[in-house]
Amino acid sequence: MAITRPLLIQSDGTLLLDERHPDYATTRNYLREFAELHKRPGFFHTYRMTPITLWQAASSGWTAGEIVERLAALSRFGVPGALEEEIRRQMNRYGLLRLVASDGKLALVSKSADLLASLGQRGNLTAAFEGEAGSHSAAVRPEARGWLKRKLAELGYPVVDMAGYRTGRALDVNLRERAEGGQPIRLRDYQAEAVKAFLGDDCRDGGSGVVVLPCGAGKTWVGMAALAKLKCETLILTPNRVSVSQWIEEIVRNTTLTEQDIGEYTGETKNVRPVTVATYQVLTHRRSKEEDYPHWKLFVNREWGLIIYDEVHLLPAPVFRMTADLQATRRLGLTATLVREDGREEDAFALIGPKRYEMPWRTMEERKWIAEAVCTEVRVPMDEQSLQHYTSAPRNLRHRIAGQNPLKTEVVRTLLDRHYGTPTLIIGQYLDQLHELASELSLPLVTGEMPHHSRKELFKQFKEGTIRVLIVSKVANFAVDLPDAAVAIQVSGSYGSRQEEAQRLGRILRPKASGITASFYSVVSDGTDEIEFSRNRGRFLLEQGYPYTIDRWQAPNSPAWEKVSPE
Amino acid sequence: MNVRQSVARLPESIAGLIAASAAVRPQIERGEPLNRIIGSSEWADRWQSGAEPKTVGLLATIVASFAAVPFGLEQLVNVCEAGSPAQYTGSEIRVGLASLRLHGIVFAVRKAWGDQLFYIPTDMVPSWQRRLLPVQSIRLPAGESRPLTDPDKRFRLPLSLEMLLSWQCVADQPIAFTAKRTLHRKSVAKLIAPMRIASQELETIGFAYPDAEHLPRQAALAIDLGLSAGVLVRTERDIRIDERGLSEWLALSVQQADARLHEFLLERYAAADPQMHLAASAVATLQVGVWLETRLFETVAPEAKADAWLRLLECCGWVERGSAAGRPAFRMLNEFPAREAEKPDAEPNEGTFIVQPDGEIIVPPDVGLAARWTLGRTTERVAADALFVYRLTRDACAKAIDAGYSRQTLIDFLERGSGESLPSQVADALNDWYARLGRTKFEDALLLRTDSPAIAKLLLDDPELVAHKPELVGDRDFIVDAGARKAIEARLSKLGYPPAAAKRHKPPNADAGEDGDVAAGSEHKEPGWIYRPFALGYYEADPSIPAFEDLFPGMLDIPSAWVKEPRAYHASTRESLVQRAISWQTSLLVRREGVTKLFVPRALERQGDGFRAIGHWRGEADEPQKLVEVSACDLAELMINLPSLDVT
Repeated sequence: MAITRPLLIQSDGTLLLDERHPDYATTRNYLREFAELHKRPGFFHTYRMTPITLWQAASSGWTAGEIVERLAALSRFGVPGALEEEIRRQMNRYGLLRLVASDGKLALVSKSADLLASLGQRGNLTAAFEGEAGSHSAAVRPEARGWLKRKLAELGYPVVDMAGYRTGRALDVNLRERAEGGQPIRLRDYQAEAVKAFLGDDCRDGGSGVVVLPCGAGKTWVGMAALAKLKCETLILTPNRVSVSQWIEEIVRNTTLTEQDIGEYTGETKNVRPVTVATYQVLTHRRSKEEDYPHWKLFVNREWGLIIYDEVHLLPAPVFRMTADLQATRRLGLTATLVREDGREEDAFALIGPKRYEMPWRTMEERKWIAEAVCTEVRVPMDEQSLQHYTSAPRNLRHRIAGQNPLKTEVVRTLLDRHYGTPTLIIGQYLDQLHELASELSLPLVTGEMPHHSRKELFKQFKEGTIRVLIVSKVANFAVDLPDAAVAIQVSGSYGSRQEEAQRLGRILRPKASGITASFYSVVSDGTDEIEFSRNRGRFLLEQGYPYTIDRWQAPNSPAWEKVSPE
Repeated sequence: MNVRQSVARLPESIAGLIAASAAVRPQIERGEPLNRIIGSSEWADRWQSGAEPKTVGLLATIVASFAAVPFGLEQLVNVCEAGSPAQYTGSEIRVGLASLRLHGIVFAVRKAWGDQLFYIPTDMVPSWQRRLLPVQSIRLPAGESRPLTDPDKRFRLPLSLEMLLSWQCVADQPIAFTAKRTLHRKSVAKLIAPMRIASQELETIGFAYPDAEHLPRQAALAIDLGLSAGVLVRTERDIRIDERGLSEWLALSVQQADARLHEFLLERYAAADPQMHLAASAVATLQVGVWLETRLFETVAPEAKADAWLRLLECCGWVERGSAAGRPAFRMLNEFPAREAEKPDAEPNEGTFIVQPDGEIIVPPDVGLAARWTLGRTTERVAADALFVYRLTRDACAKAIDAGYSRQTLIDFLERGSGESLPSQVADALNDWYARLGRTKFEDALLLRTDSPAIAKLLLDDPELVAHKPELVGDRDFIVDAGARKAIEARLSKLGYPPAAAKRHKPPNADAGEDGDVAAGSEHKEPGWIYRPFALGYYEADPSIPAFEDLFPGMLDIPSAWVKEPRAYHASTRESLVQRAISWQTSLLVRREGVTKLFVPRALERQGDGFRAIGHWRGEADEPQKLVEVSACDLAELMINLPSLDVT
């Protein structure tokens, strides 16, 4: 049966796009303008229109009428009236409020005197204003810039921030022309597009926002290119110390800056230089809950022109609060996913900025910018003793018992044989399990308890190819650059963390010189709750367009395992 | 009462008279049922084109004044006389009414004490409104094609889907009666939980029903419609799903179900108020998708009543309301039940749903009720919007097992409904979930208890008992086959161990026939939950239609010339004619100086030897009615003018 039109529309702004429709590609291109891709588990890809996506569309020049008309033309069953109204309402709000700077003073201006008056009368907003509001303008305290934007966004009124940014202290920096190997350094097209989208063209509200790229897509390059474009002193915040080192290495290798220009600000080392790379952990460190955060001064003790938030979805809540005070500084968020386990995606929009650029994983894969990956769940039975232990254990211990199923070692051994010679990461949640694996399989292990320099050394050897298999704890979930890893074997994981699964897959998605397909295995104990947790984690991959298959391990010495799901 | 019910109650003699009329007979001879014929648009057109204008006019007056509300002859006369000028004499009304009854347009019942009530079947009111009291569309002025609508208004489901969600809650948990015969609060809360219709939105319709202080209006609506549709049934203990009624309902498409519900709304709620009924009928004649001004109903109903009805339709997801330049406006949505869908032989248009690899099931609007019902019983609902979205989960599988779905039957249903093989991820997940579900269950079993292990052993040694495969539990009890109970009892007696009397085992629903009996279940006997002000079903159908002579008592006693042509009579005879006309509430045809005019006498006063008649001359339609006194001399030549009974 012919599919009449490609789009199914819900009244809450959910849009379902039929991938099988001949107009799929053009429709997808439209949707990107005013909706965001939520998931693509099968033929139907789910997009969502939210106030934020509609405001962004309005900022790109779309009108409500155009969107409604376009949707009506593409929809199989019409556009619900309630949604039509919502689109008009939200888009009409964009531009109603603008933050402008004049004579060094900040003001909230609006064509709607009624709106400004009603906002001025809201008790919880008055603290942000200086003096009496005029009919079309209200003076805003400079320190309340971020707070006010966030509050107004919460109330459903986006503020177009045209007050500009401070330039920060100038820094003479460029991307190098050639890499160490002599090959020319050139940004990939999507990286260049991301930088351009972040900075904005002529629009003064550019310069802050989030770039969403899959793991392995080279987000660091986007950060370095932004730094080179803005040529200002820059603070880079990352989730852990390994990542700090990798940022520093990359900047030294690919820009005209030297090690003397770059400071590391971590628990161990505290150097503040024109470009400083710090961890979220050190910023949020304090001796007791009653004390202030002693390292917050890092934000203000230098005239930063740009702050880069690496893995922005991990940004801790205290850093959000601090970020509210930094609205005069350009802010770049980098992430592979906007999904936050704490559900605070709205804060990222209000305080870091709107999503400026996104390239879905699958699209990257189609364009060969990241490796293709095959995801497989391998189910391992538990031996009788372990199963009894599992069944009789309290509920809170079961996950660990299932995760540490001793039979998983055999599976790992078989998988290593299957991918012999291919750079492989074995990733796990429980340190004793990882130690045991390391001991039984005689493999090197990287954990958080290992000295930093030892970790660096093992990663270096892995990159150089002297080590082909590395066991890593969750320390390697984020921001560890191991570009050649092509196989990941997850032997245990946290309960149902969607981002963890995505991050671990991301470890092996760098495009391989050999062009081989990456393999991601999740080894789980059959007949246990681990199956269900694995399913929840796997659903996230599925939603990103990575279907997984299920293999079932039969027994040691039997011919591998029986494949239970169809090819 | 609708046409079908009315015809079913007609005495054979009257049904025969209607069937014998020229407009109906050919179809009757072709085997079409009478109710279908006289309920059809074609027949109404045929009747209207051939009927006396006076009769058509009388019908228009009845429709405008009473719609489907029952009325007495006196009420109708009062209405007709209140018109200016009065267009009908009493005799014309009586004769017209008899004619309308002979054509099966107006029906009559008789109360126990003999009073007669007339009515138009509820489902014929829309048809007559369209023909006799049409409304004109009033579009919004150019430039106001988009009126303001309430920014906080919610998306509305078509009523059929809103009800389906609600009734599904009854399937999960019947609504129990309390000891005081009110409805159990928790069950009611579950019933209304999935509904978007709010109690205050139904306020203007004015529902009256039992326990109205505590039962929200939307709950009363869901129960009333469920009972009316036969999906729900009232038992002594609770209100529950009627499996047969449900299965008939689920065979409908969404559009057909909406059409059926629309009929219920008209018949059960609108019909209680003639003006609302007419406004409700008129809505269905308007163009879908166009914003119109609400004042267009002012020819049939006050704005408040029209607005109340539109508000209800908005709750049903069929209409959208707004305002343009301060004036109320509305538009009918595509979901408004189409009249085509009312055709009983219309084929349901079944679409397919989509099973996504992540276990979500997307249900487009064209998927039928049966598939939706099954999805509701076997999956978790994620969204009920323009599209419904369900999700397969482990908990939902447990629910599916309770609803009788094995892994394979669930897979079969999903594959049939989606027209595709299940995605492997979904099949895998179902395998996982079902692997542990339904492996244990509680069962009622028949326990044969002995009072010692020794007797138990003795029984085990008896080959005849062992043939019934008793299952030893512990050292003195057996689970035995309930079907073999009699044989085991007999054998135990023979062995000298007759079982002691015990309360007979009853399976869980075995007592349904005792205290769970379904109350009289057929549609016309189920009064629903919301009171209807005019319960015609309690009255007997009027067994006869008066013959022409019966409409004019004493007609056989007068000279036939009195009713044939105007003549000159002696004054005393003229007086008799006038008195007879007054008693028959009819007019006199008066000829004077070669000109004939109709005079409607209302009273007669003696003046010496003569008399004078008080009444009015019937002239042009727009001439105001004026009572005049006419002397006997003025009535030089006259005859009694009797209306003819239109039986064509």
